[in-house]
Amino acid sequence: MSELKLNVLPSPTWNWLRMNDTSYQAKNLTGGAAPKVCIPDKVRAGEETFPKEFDGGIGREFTDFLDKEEKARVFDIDYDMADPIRLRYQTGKDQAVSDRVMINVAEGKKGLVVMNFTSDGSDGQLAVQTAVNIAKDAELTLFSVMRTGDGSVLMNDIGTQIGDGGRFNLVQIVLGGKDIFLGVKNHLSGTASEIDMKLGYYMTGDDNLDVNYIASHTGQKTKCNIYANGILRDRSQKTFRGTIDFIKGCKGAKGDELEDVLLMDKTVRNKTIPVILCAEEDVEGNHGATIGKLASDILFYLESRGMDQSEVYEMMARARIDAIADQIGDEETRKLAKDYFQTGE
Amino acid sequence: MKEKAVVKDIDRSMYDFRYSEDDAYKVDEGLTPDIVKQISKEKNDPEWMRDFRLKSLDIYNQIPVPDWGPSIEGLDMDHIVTYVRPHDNKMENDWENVPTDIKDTFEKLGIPQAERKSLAGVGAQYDSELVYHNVKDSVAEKGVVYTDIESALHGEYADMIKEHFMKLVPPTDHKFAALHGAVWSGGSFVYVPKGVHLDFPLQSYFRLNAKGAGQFEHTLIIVDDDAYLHFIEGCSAPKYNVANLHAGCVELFIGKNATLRYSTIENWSKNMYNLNTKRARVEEGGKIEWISGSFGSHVSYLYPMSVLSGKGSRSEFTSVTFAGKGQNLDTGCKVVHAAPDTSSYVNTRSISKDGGISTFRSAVTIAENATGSKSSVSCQSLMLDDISRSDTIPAMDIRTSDADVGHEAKIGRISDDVVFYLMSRGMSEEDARALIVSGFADNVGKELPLEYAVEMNNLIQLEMKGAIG
Repeated sequence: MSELKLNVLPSPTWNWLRMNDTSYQAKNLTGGAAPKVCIPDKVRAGEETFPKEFDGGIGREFTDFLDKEEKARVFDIDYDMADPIRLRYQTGKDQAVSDRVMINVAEGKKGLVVMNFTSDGSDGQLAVQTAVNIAKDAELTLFSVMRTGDGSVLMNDIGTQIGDGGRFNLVQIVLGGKDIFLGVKNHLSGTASEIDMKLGYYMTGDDNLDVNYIASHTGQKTKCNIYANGILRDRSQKTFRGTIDFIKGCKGAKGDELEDVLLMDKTVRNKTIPVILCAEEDVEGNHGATIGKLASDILFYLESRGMDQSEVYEMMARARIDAIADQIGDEETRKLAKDYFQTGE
Repeated sequence: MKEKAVVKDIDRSMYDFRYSEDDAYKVDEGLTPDIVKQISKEKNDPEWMRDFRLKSLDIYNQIPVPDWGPSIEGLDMDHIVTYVRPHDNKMENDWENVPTDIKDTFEKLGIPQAERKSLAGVGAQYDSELVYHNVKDSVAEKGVVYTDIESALHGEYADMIKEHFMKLVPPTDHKFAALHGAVWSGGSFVYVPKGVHLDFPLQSYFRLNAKGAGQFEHTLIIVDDDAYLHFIEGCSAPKYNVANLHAGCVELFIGKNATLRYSTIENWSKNMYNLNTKRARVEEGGKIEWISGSFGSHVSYLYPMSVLSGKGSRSEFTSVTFAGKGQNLDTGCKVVHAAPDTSSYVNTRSISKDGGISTFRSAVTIAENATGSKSSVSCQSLMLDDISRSDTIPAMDIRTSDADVGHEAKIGRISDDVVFYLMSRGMSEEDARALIVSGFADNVGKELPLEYAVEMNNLIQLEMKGAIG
């Protein structure tokens, strides 16, 4: 086992809150993951050394932990994609595996990637690190649905470099998991580069979700939009760290961050820490959060239409996930997320 | 070329006068068991307090300095004098008997004038000791106790002090709470009996005159059931070229359906490390109202905490922080909802200019049993130039589904849209921008008594030069 500090907050606060990072006993890696990969013909796929300068959301210790696996699968995208690259990961019993991925989108092109994660329901551990490089005026859209069951551990780390006029769209949906660590760090270094990140989650039982989203604005007129919407049930726990970092020189930058959390049972635990760091005058940063039970006026209205309280909560929970799932432009993946509420799989 | 609107540096010259401290009694620089014993002897502590001090010193030596806030590397405890007693020190209740230089100090700060005009009582601390304490007869007749804490420690309230002293802020809380426990001196004790409503505020003013010294006053206020008190705290010091330290401690106990409004205008000099701790415990139906203006000090760690331990208890926190050149002010608040149907409201403003750093830091915790609780946090930050810094780090820990928590934060510069709107109503651009900046801090100004609001507005002086580029 290796003790790792995961999802490190860029600007620490009181230690007693236990939000500055999460200490985790990770199983030592037993080998590389073997995802099912589906690649459109025009994408150039290969293998390269993972960049040493990678800077992701989960943090340095996690990167060092994966450094035994130096090679990464590489996808070079040099056309406007209609069909996505698909990577399907499944963890199995006693596995502790890892994978590294590099996605490069050429100037002015649009890439589309789908990464889905499942497990066989056992106690496997999967660690994946993805380095994204978006060139000038290029765009990458990444959809991800995580349904790893209540026995598996997933560490899913992304780091992006975005050039002038580049754009990164990310939609992540988490549907349970024993311990899920998501980290995304975006380097908005190009002028007028943008990111749009949406997270939906539905955690039940003893699930635990731990998130660290970071938007680092160094380029002028850069924009970020971070939106998280989720549901906690039973005894589930969630920590959401969201940081907008306006670094000196990022004139004209704008950052918005919003989180809505619906708490459905008295035994859940929600931690939220939305941070804005600002060393530049000519910027605009906003963040907001609403956490709690369903608004009484909504509940009253729907009950007056003949629904009982539990039906109302089920419907509102599904509506929240659907709202995020509808942002997924890939029908197969969207269906994966939506079907979860009907089949539980 | 257009010029920027300029918010002037805070004019502290009125606070910068100083008097010789040559004939004052001082302990040696540094922090050792012998120094702590010496302070305890000077103050004629009861035995339990002497033991408490020494135990606190042990705790201080075990706890590391914080690894998350502004740097305090410039604070060398080996060169801080932890106890300075002014010459001819004797606590007086008549201004005429206060030594001349000390009296002049407080006259310049307007304390006696304020007492005559609008206060129910005044306490004045000079370095480590109270030099004046007085409460109006009409207030004393209601059973209100307002005295220095050392007198209370030896008088009829000794048991009450022992029962409450550093129970809300234990020395184990953090390193500088432990330091306070070891070397505390001075401060006030207030007791407001059941059902008593004080129409006029009480005020304590803390003046640190000695170079390279620390001030460690302890304020203990007990507002009994159904009572009301407004307590005002002011502080200042002349500027020196060596570090001074303020590590006070405020403990507030608010009874059932009682209300305490605690207002602070903090204007320490820019060589001051202000590592202060304030905490309130609120019983059923009670309310704590914090009003806080932070303008001074070199480095501040200041986060008043409300522990809402009674059903239906409430907390309001309203603050403004102004960080100018050479200042790193880390301020905010903490709220613990520990009972059902509790509510908290936080409304803060931060202004950064001329290289100043302001950080808003907060923590809202809603415990498992705090069902039906509500919390709303709003923080706004204004950047007035591109060499300053402003961060917001709010944390929320919610442990029950039956709660409503809202948070919003905004950071930016003066909005061109708002300026345009005001100009469309006939204002000049300069006037519009001046109005916006002065209005930004109005959340605190409108909550203070008039005299203090005027003082605060005088601290934030605006000078608009042409239009903003």
